[in-house]
Amino acid sequence: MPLERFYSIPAAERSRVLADEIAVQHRYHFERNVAYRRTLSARGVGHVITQDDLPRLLRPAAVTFKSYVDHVGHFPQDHPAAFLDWLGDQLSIALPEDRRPLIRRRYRTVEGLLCDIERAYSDLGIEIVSSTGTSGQPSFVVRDAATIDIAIRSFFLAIQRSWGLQRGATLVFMMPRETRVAMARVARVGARHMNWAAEGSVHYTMPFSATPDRLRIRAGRRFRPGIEGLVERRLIHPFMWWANDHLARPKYVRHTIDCLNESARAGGPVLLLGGLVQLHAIAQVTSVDLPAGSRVATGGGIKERYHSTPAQVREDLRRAFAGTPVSDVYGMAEANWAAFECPEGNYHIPPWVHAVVTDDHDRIIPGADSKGLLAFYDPLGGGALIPPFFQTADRVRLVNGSAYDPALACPCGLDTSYIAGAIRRVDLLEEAGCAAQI
Amino acid sequence: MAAGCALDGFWLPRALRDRVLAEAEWETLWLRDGAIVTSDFPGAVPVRWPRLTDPQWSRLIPELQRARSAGGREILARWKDAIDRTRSLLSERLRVMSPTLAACTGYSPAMIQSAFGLGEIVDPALLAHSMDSLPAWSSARRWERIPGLPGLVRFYPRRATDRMLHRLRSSGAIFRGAPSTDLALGFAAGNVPGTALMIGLLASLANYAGPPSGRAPAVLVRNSRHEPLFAPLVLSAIESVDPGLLGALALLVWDYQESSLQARLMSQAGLMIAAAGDDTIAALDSVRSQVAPALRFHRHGHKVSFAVVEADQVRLPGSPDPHHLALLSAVDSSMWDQNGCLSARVHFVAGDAEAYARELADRMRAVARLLPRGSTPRRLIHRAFDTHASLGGRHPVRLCSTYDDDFAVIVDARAGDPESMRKAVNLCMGRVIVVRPVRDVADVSRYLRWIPPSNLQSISVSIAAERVEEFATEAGACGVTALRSLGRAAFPQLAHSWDGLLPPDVACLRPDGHFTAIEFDDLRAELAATYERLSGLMSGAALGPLAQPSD
Repeated sequence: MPLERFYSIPAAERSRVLADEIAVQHRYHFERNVAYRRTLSARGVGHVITQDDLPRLLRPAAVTFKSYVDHVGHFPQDHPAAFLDWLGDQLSIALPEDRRPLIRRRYRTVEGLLCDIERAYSDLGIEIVSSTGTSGQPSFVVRDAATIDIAIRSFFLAIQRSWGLQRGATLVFMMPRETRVAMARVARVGARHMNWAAEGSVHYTMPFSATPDRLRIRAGRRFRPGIEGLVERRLIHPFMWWANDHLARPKYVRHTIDCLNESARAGGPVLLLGGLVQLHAIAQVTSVDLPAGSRVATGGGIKERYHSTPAQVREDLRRAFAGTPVSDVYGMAEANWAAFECPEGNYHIPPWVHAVVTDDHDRIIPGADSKGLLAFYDPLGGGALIPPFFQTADRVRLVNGSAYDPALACPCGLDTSYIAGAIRRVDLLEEAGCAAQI
Repeated sequence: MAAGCALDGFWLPRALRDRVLAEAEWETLWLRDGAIVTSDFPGAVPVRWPRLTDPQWSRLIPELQRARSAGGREILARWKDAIDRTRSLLSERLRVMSPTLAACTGYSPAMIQSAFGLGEIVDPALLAHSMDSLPAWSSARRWERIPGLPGLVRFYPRRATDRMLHRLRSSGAIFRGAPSTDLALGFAAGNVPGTALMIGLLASLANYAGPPSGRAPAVLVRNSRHEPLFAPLVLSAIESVDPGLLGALALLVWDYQESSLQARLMSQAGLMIAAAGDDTIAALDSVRSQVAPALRFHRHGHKVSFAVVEADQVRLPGSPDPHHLALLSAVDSSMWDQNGCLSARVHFVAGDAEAYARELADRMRAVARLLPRGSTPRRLIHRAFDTHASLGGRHPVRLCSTYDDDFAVIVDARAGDPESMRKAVNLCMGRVIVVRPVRDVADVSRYLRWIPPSNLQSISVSIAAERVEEFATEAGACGVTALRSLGRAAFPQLAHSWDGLLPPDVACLRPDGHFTAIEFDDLRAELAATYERLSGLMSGAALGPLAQPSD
């Protein structure tokens, strides 16, 4: 069913359609996906499920695709064969064995390895996206042509639906053109696939590539072992921060401002999308009048020590881009969708995604207005590749998720599940006793 | 429960109480499961404390100081007498209050009752022995006995010069008396009951090294908002038999952000003891370094503990059942749902680790029935379970519990590295145990070196008696501060080392470094005695499954 159709299906019927599709997708992936089957079997779930099994289909996003670096232990580039084994376990399609000789025994960088994997399996059309990896452990998520298409449609459909931006608007992405970070990758590929570039202009204002290795070193949370790690820690990491502050930031801020001024002169609406910290750099040096219909969009939250809170940054952005709405996007590498903030301040989850919240004991909290950890079933988003039933580490208030109450429909007019209010990451324990996290 | 029925989360001596509270404004909070909640939260317990103004603080501190009476030795004798006289009263009050304590802290009533039924954390007689016997520099070279205390202690100097020169001054004193003080400060945090009480008692010994005629300082402890009830419960019982003993002690609540108040208190104090999060301790230290750099500060931050077991040592003397020690291990990792720094996280096992893990899982099930877990999120168990379930197949990782168990026991036999060790330690929260096979207990120190020394706390052991000192020497060098017998992890003796500090540290000065204590004389006998105590507490019926070891 085309994604657009879900917007017109009444909420009650939508739940039924999604429930059926979840059962079908579970069965498909359970039979083919080693990692999914291994985890769910250990939880006591078989290939046929009932309503009671739904909470047990959810795998924590923080464990599933982060698990390689986080728990398998070594860096993928040091043991490409083991990484391929792991990758194969995560997918519901087979990675043909005859391509293995195309993968070297060792790589200098993760990026080199991922590029070779994409080349070796190019006939499957796979590409590997990652999270920002600022925790030191990036997620590696595989997409293929079908799931890329879903992600792009999801993204651009929401841009049109939630923000009213149509093809022809100028897109200014304050992000590198070359990166594996999921949202940036979707923006780049999507702009091309959806043909936005043909009718408007698309700009990427960060003049450097952001590979997983660079993001890891810059974050400074995990370094390579031995001398290489020492060099990363003592030289490259501090140099990257110095270079960002003194060389890169002035350049990309200037480039972004130039792009915005140029677009403003052209008169058409502009979508400016970037990270909070990067956009804040603009708000701190100038103000820009964007044409009517434009929008400033933030994404990714703040994942490093920063002197201002997200709310303060947004306030500064509103001041700097007076008259232009400032909205946020919530997404993650594991999701082939993103939730866009509407004028009411709510984050709308696409109607083809069944969202719920779970309690501290991993039970789904019933009701149309509940607080807990966000979890989602995206039966269409995983395509033939992965079972996209994930639990996030984000504590939210979810409205019209597990149940539907028409009285709670968002006043903006978009009748989907939505996250109301702040999104809080709870991957660290709140303090209880004196036991340490080290 | 209405705010009008709020329980007192503070303590003031009777002689001051009415006067101080007459003009005080009150803060009432609602607690549930160790968290501050709204008043309409189901089962929320209202607690209250006075919020003093600057003038009220200005009147309170001198009044506490005027009430100072007994000196150090007398204090301990009177504490012992008061505890002896109030034992049954305390027992009864604890029984009545445990549902409320459970609701506030999120731990089950059974766990709270058993914790205080099993432990004799504060034994004033032992504490007096510890205070009176100051180890010499020879303890930096060998394990030494403290007269009157079970076990041994050893000093690990931090400074290179001390490490090199201690042989030259082996009979010399490590400790010298600290200047007397009129005020000792304490900070208690977290939701494990008892911290404020222990700090209050220790702080009152700050002048112990002074002249016998000297008086103990006034003691002011900032009580934990997350567990404010236990200390007032005990203190009010003690006061009922010896009001003069507690005349100079106050437990109140103020905000860490009240920087001018904290600066003022620190500038008047001679000793500060804090058991809190690392961030809080760093913030306190920052204020201290600005306003009172000479103020002695005993820090008790976030810590981790472990268990070390030789699998062929699991038969207790005279016991027909080789599975009893798994019960002791299970208790070590169940108390306070591993929220406490003393709970064993990773269990290092020499011998048949899988058999140990299977047995441990069985005992964890038995303990879960007797000491049900509290409100600690089951999510923590599931994360550990999922993480290791996803590794199964390609890695030597084995799950020994089910997804529906109230705990997780996992054998992880992968070659370790510092990062994977860190991950394993962090996963072990909420009754999650990673069993790590080792070839020999001597190999454990390799893993301990991967943990920052400042985070290491204690190890509960069941190893060959003749290897205890050798193992303790290595563990102490890594930063471990106490070796306890298996089953005693959550029941330390305050007379021994607490985070590397001996009780005399509250009254003395010494070079940088830490003490490590072996808290037992005869490990086998201690294990048997602990098992007997557990048996008594958990009743024969509850221990029934112990007679049916798993396959």
